[in-house]
Amino acid sequence: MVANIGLPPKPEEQELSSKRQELKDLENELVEHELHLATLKGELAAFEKEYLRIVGVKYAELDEIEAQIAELRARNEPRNLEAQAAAQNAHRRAEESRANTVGLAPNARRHFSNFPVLRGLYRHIARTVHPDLATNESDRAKRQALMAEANRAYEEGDETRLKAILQEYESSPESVPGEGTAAELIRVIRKIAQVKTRLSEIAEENRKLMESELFVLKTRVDEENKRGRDILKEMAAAVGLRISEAQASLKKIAEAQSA
Amino acid sequence: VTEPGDKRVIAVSQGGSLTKETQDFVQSPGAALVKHDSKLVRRGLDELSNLLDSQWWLIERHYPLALLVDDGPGILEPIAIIEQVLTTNGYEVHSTSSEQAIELARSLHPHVAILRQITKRPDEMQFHTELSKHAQIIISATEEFEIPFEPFDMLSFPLEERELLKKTSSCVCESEWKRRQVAGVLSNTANRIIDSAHNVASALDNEIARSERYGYECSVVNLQVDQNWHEQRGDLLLRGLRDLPRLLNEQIKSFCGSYLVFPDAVYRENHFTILMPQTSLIAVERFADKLHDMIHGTNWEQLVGSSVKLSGAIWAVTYPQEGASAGDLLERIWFGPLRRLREI
Repeated sequence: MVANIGLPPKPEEQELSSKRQELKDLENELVEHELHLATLKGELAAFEKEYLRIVGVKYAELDEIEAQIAELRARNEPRNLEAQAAAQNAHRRAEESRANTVGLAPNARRHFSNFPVLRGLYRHIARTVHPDLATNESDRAKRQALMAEANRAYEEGDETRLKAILQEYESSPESVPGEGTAAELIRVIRKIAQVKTRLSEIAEENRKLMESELFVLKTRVDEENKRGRDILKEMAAAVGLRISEAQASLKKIAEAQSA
Repeated sequence: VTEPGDKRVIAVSQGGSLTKETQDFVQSPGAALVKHDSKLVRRGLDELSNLLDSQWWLIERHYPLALLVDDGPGILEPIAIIEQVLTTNGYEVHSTSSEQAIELARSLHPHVAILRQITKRPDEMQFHTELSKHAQIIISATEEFEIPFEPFDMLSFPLEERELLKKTSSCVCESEWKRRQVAGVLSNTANRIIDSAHNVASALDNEIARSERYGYECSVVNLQVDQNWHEQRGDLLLRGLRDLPRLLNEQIKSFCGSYLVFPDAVYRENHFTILMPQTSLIAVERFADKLHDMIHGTNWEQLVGSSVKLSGAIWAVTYPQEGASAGDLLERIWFGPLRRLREI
């Protein structure tokens, strides 16, 4: 075994070693925070899809009928400016609701699932390809694209794609680290700064997500679910009642007009 | 779309699908994204609140009951006016003649009976005495009319809607209070309140007067124990919740700070009414949190000698936002709607 020949490490080497340790700790923290954020986004996206599929479509249906009612009324009273404006507003609202709910696959994945294997893969990718760990601009751009794809794949629970992303980066020349203490020290210090900035961005993004109406709605729905109530179905039924009323009212107006 | 990492904000509009380029951008770390919540989400939140509130209403809402006793046309306004005013203000109203009034009062248990000035009955005194066993009585009469018995309230004509509602609501509270007579398990503090103020309504009246004088808000919190729990485990409730006023008092005192000066808890069947002077809308929500935590943190098993999980709800009303008088506030506490703050 070769013994240490006794030369003390140079100051820049000591500094580099300490900075590397700091970066490693920060990288671990960053990976966990990215994972948490991606999970939150995935859960919210899956919930939003489910909500729109169950309740949102009912609103779109209701808005459509109300727009028809408003249009009939406006046609009936062509000089009534309020009726004309109401018809326009109802039409706009119906369009908006339809745009929100159109193309929702009936068999869309209902719940966000982040199995341990997915989380493990995501951690590995975030640790390997995170853009804030890039050594130069071209590397950064490549990492940026891969990370975006990884986030999307994680949200969709696509394990195969996550593996492919990891493989793609690990086989690229950018994955080979550079040499030279001074240059390396500067790179590490810059990475530390980048990681810290990203950590505060994640915190801010998390805060915004948790303040969103979607998050509030999800939390309340989850609470009711825990009590054994399928509150989304109940909400859909409540809007369904209003749809029936609106349909009856539309029929009445249409009959009165044709008479 | 700006470059990834650019600090400018892009807004992804509601609905529609994103191009791959935009998707890449918003998915990449460092992209500053503002995603507007869909208006459908806001509507869903409103829908959910309505649904949860209305469910509680279905279970809890019951109407104060008024019995109108009228023996035919007279010089006063038709009884129909009183009926209309009360009905539009959330009362369930039944009209009857004095012949049938006693029998109906026995079966309906009205909170209040409003009588027209009655002079025709030979047994008037006996009739009033008998009816007053079943309901608080208000006599509607001209100012010249002398009320035959001291305890009865009088409505003078011409009728003023505000006076009618105020007196009726006060009678309802009195009646409700009598029905929920304080059990013998009260803490000394609660008894002191009852002794000194006769009932919660007068205690609250005092607090409201004080709040009005100094420009404070004050709140009433109602801790309601789940009815099923109460019915099935009433014996445990009596034994275990005997300590609740003490625990509540301790909790309130620990929370007190500058918010509360005069907290007390009163046990009435499955309700605990807590007067909270100088307690604002926001402060009472914080208190509800504390109360919720306290109830969950309490070892009920130790107190009642059996494994139980207390369930129920915490409700609150605040003066002046949700009622201008003790009658208004207590009526809301007892008949809803009031703010449900926390599930237990």
